[in-house]
Amino acid sequence: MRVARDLPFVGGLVGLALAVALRVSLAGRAGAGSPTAGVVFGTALVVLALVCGLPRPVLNLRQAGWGAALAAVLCVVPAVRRVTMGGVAEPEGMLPLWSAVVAYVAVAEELLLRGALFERARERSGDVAAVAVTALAFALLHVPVYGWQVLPLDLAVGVCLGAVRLAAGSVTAPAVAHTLADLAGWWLR
Amino acid sequence: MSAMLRRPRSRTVRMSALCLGLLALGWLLTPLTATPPLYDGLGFPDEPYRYVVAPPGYQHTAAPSVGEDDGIVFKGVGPQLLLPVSDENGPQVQAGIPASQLSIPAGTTQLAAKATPLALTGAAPSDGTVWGNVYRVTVTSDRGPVAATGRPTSDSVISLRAPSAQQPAPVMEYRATPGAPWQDLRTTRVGNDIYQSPLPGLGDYALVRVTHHAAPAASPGVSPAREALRTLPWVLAGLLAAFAPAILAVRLHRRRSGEA
Repeated sequence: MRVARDLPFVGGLVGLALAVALRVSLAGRAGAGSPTAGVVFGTALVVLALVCGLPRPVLNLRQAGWGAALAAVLCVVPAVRRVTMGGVAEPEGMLPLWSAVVAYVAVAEELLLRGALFERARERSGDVAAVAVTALAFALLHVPVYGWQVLPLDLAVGVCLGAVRLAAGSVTAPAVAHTLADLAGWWLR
Repeated sequence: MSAMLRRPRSRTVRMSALCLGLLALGWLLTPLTATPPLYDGLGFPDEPYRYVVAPPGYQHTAAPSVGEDDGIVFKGVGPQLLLPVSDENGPQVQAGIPASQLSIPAGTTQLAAKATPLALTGAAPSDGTVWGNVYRVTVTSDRGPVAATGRPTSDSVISLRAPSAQQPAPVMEYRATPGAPWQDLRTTRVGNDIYQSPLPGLGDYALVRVTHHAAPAASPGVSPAREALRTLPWVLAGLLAAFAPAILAVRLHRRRSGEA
């Protein structure tokens, strides 16, 4: 009985691990730069979010406001680095494809982590556990493509996204924050 | 009423402070080159690796650029950090050279740091093959050559971009002069295809793909390992496809039986 109760949560985490492995194996030497692997990964996460029980996202200005505010905070350090240390100009022709895939994967990650898995973890163990578990999963899912060095920052970002999810009451706010912060990276690198 | 309003507000303030503290800590613990993508979905499109001497069959690219930075020395005190970075997208080399690590000749007013791409000359590393260009890190002054005799600091790091993100990860190696033997450096992957190591001094740096002597000799045709690698995505996709309906079935069953 307990197994049946926990399956949507534990199964979601196992499914996430499988999706990460699928992405890495599909991407091959392109690593994180493979759009195909990114789209397949995002689609796997959306399907997992739906089967694990995705609460209906709330679409309103309050959600957008929370998301934009967190995105602005996440962009402060990259912006300061860009101004003080310079950066690189990305090839403009790549922007449409890149931004479409980035937005898709960012929203997909949020639908699973701060959507379905957050709700299942909250049902089981409360708010703090939901934030902690989804932040840890968020940090770990980036390790195979970017290395262990990103773990501390991604863990912190995961906690921030979970906190905004709690404060705003819907997955929409962290999805907006995640998407805007990722897209801003194009100009802040 | 005001007490009721105050409680959630103080919780929000506490949560915001915790988040900002964690973010600050996260950035402090993150290497300098690990700029976005960090919360990402797709890596930034890098241009193809620019070789000094490209391997046979490699596409035509522009020549790799030299990373350069300069700084003024005033009353014997140099710039805090020289940071030569090459111009490729993304940069193939970035070196952090603190002035405290340098022995600056008396009367110097100007320092110039370079990270110059070269083809391998002299002895090759004994434990593998160089992957990409060799980068020679030098610092010169208007009063002659500069040596790095001081202690490396936490800013003394070098990052090299590999020609691809293919794993296993390479090892960064260093030699002080072209005649010196190569030595392994502690290497950390700090990006999709970027590797960072401490910068013990001026000299040559390269990424090396370590040869595993235990590996069996290549045989004609497709190796079993490669074949397994080719089918892995299908196996994983199959597992996911089987897994998702199982979760859905359990949830539907629970809903029918009146559980949460």
